Amino acid sequence: MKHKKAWLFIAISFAMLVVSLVLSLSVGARDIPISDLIATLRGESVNALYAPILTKRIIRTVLGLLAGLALGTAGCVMQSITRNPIADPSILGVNSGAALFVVSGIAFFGAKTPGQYIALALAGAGIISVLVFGIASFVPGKGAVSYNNANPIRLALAGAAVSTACSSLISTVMLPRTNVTQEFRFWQVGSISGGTWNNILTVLPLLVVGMVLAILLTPSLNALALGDDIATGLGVNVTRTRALGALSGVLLCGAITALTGPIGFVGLMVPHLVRIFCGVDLRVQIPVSAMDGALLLILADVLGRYIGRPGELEVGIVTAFLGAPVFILVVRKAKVGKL
Amino acid sequence: MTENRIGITEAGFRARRSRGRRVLAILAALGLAAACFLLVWGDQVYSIGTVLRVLFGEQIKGASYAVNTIRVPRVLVGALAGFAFGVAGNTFQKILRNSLASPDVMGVTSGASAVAIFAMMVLGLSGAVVSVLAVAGGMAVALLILLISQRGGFSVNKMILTGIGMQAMLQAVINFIILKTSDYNISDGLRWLSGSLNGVRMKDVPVFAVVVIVTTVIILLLSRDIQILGLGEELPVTLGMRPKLMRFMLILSSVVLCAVATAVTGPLASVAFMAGPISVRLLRTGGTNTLHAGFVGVIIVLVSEALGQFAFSTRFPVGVITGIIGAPYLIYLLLGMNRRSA
Repeated sequence: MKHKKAWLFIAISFAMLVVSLVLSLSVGARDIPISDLIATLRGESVNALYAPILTKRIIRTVLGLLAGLALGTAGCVMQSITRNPIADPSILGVNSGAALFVVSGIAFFGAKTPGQYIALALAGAGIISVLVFGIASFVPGKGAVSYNNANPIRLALAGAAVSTACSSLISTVMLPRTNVTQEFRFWQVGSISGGTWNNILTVLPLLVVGMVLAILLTPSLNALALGDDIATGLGVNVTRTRALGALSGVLLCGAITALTGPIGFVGLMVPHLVRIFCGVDLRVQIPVSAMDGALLLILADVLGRYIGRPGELEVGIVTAFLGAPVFILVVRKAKVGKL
Repeated sequence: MTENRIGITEAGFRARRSRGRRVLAILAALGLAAACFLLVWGDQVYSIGTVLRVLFGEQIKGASYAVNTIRVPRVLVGALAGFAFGVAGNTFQKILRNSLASPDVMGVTSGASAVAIFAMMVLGLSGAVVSVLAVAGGMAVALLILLISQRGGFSVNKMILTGIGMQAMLQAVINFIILKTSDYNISDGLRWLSGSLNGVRMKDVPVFAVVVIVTTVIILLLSRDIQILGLGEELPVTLGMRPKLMRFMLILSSVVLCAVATAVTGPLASVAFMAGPISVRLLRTGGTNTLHAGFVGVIIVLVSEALGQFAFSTRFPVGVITGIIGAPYLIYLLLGMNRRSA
């Protein structure tokens, strides 16, 4: 029965993904009817305006697809290595870490090119996520970092604390420099509208490495879900699996965050949804989460364009509005543990 | 034997009470000292005598303007805001029995900020209207969090996590408004959002002061109930209280306090959350510490303001400084909690 439900879910998701891709190409400040869309894609010139609009929208859709795949996968991997239902870049303070590094780079080192932004965002995401997780699981006196210590509430609070610190530091860097403010406020809201092929190609290798790593890790991650002791008994190197999983998560989130700015909650919502229908086997969960991540992100983007007419509502805002209620639901269902 | 014990208990009670009063006096003195420093120091340093003469209405060229128009409102608003955030944070922490459950961690301040920044940047409002709207925003968020965490059995942890989720959403709203604001207004908005005493005027003070005093008096009148609520979920019921009602009233007053302060100064990061625990440490007892927490808040804000104004080559808004002080403290608290529960 479960099996049937899972296949049905996957099939529906896939169909919806295809529909959302088409919608993403056709909906916008100027809608392109589907028939014209197909004609233009074939190379017939229906309307002189369509070709340039469509070029933009194709880049945007590809970027949305990649971002969704990456964030869905990253959320799934992060939740499984931390065994924590609310592990998501937006809660773990990863976004604000990336933002802090990017702002400092713009202000102090004159960072300008997307390559530099990406390197900075990656470094920030990595350092801050390690820091947050360390704070949540570190026990003073014992000195031992035990992953089981980091229950959801501690993780969330550590993330909130570090985010506060980061945003204060961001203000210190930014307030005396108005030019940085201008650059940064556009980056602070996650959006997939500003991509170029060049930028996408720059981060693509990172995304591929992160994805491949996540897929290669699935058997070990499955074992990890049984508990550290059993996983070790089954011949899994627990520490290495966690480290590689974290690397994959940070690569995926960091690279996408560098391109699009912070897009929260996608990685949080999707794995929970997928688990309901497809069960806990990560060999299924990770690829389906990736697909549904893309579906969610593109739908959110289309929705943002639809609601925000004649302009648009950035996708990061839409996902925050969809995601926060889901987060609250998850919190209410999960055993949040004690402080 | 029994009398002897009663004697010891009474002596202990008196000792704690007198310690409480001593600490309060010292805190008030420190707050006053910080206020004096801010009145005297600046681009132009005036002697205390000059400042006093100006305060008593004498016209002195230069000094009158600097002190009356710039420094006095700044100090008054800073002190009031510090007091408001301190009292509000402490009340939250006490009745929720968790030093992390302060209005700024739980998104109440973000609610007030989001509404206030919308009113200022999009609707172009200013003054008392913004305050009223900010209070409404903070209240709505607090009620929502309470409602959500009340269902299926009240749990503080659920409430904190719900608040964090809510905060993420509100932050998105704030970022969106900042993004859509015209370049011309943007630095004002950002400065307000990081919490600043720049540009406060004397006409902001009276209403603010009245609200702070009235709500503080309400909270002080209820301070016995705060103590009882701090005992747990069941005990207050046994003692004939109505915990839901009292919690609601107290949270309401605290929300009013911090939302009004937010509307005037912007969200001063971490003040609400630092003041309570620090005052408890100073008192070393679990007694009533509403006023102590308020004065600790005053000191934090005024000292941070002095640091932000004079310690660096660039002037930083006070909220940036309190945020930088607050974050390590939050992390320290978290680590301490890890130790206790590990």
